[in-house]
Amino acid sequence: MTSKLLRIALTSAVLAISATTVMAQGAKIFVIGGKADDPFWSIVKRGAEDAGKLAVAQGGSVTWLGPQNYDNLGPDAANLIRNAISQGATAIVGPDWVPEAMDEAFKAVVDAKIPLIIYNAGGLAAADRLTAMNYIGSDDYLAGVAAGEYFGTHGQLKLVCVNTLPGAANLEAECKGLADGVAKHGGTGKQLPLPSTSFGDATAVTQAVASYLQQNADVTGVYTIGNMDANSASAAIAQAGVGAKVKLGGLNMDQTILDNIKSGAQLFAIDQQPYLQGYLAVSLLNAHVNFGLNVPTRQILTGPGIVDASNVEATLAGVAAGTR
Amino acid sequence: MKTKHLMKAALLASAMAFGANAAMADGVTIAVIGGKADDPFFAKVKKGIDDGALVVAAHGGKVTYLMLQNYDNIGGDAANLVRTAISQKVNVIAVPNWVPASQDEAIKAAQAAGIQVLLYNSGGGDKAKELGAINYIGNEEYPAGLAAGSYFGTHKATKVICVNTVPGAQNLEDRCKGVADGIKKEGGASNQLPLPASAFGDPTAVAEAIKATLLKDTTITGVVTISAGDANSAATGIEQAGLTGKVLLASFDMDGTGLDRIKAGTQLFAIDQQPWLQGFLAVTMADAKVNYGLALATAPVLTGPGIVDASNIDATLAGAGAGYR
Repeated sequence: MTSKLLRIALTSAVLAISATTVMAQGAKIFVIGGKADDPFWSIVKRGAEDAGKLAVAQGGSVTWLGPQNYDNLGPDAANLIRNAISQGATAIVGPDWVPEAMDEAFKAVVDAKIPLIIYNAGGLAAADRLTAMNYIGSDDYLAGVAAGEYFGTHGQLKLVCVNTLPGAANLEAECKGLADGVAKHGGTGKQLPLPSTSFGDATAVTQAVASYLQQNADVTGVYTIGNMDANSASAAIAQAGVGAKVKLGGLNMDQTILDNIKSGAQLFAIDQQPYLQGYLAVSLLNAHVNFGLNVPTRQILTGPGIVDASNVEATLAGVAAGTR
Repeated sequence: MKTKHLMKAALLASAMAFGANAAMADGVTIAVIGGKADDPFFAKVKKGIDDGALVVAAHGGKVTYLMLQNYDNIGGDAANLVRTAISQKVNVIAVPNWVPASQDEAIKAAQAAGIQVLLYNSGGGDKAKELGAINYIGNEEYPAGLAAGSYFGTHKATKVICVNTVPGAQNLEDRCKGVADGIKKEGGASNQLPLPASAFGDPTAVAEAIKATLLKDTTITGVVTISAGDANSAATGIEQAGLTGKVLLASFDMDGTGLDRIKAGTQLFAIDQQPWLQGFLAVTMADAKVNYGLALATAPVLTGPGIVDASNIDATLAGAGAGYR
């Protein structure tokens, strides 16, 4: 307790020369993210580490803090934020996964005058609410719009959005985006909400999509909201024997999906480009702490990025290098 | 030598199907076209390019900086540097589009040769879209003016003159128009003070003109200049009119003298387009695109306006000392 008070006293005395002092020491950047063995978050981490090369060259450091599991995500992540503060972070970036559990910890960051960036989850709304510098990440609705427009410009005008988690706000937004995007090209998009029992059950999803396609022969585009669902839908299209007519697109990607894009069995995937989230967050915090630089484009959207036949090779190279 | 070249060409053609992998293995080359090395602004851009090159090297690639020797024929010379980059068979080119009429043809030639292009520093988001460039990373004049106007408006300067020493230049007209629109939203007003071309580069003439204007119209509470040099003249003009502290000063761009004034409290703020970020982000986004197909959905990425005022002057001075600002 006493040492804490002392630290506060020291901090205010140092304020007048803070910028110069920080320079000499470099930035102590703490990155809150997912589990290190989560395939998505390992790419974010790779981006943070690449950007960390410059931070380290300038005398700073980058520390990754992730939860042990996802059982109690909001409170666990809030504790990681508090750990970062107590470990003397001079800059913090974190996803606002569960605002009601995490916002209080983020506010403590801002109150301690530690520069903050929100990334991956929360959107510009969270950055505004918390007075963070930037939001770096994707936007669910815009991902849907990009998918809808892509289908539209490639001649698929009657779409179905396979939603295996109906009611989840981000997925509803994405399916709405799909409909709005294809509408710009004169098409329509409907949602196929599946019962929650089918979530994670590849066979059930495949059967549901196959029977939908048989009953709705005019549908020419199928969109899925997760990589497992894309592979189920791919199987459904084959089962229904409509591969020549029905094209597949979906959010997120894995090796199977990229192979399918390469072979032509899937038209495209929407990627939120996690590498850029980690890379830009650390780069911008480092430049801010050391030199007071600040990107005025507050919402930096790393996605939607579209992966299709035109760039699948570069994407595969990125997968091999751990950046995609 | 020739055989080797032909063989390489044949190999390249057959490797096209997995182009990215081939590029990766060889390591990509990023050409960045920019201003003179002794130009204080481009020295900071170059620092960003060099810092970005750290990561490029970690990905197995390299950066070459192709530099204008002078500014006598910027558009034509920059177009020639693009052609040089094409002949060097680089993988991606980052270039300011200073003079579209002179440069667009060369940029299109690069794209036709399979070289991706990213615009930075000059050109703007619309131009990048029109050319099919990866992105635009840099400043846009009107939003910069808007930020200056609203800053004045929220800091009790309600009548501001925008001193324009190169009237007619589109980018400066855009700045001053932004100032007027920005302050209007806060209930203030701004007019342009266009100075004759003979005053450009003549600090005494600029100082005299500002002094005379302030003495004639005592309702003016703010002065903004379109360059760091003009801000120094304006500071003299305000001082000679005996209005230091009463008339608030701001500038587009900044130099050491201007930063010292902000520190001392005799200048309210400066609008910075943050050149280091332009070089750094241009190089790293070009690298991410050409190696891994990564591209931001946000276009353009504006590196300015960054506002430098009393709240961040110490970090900015630290950055200036290190050559970053």
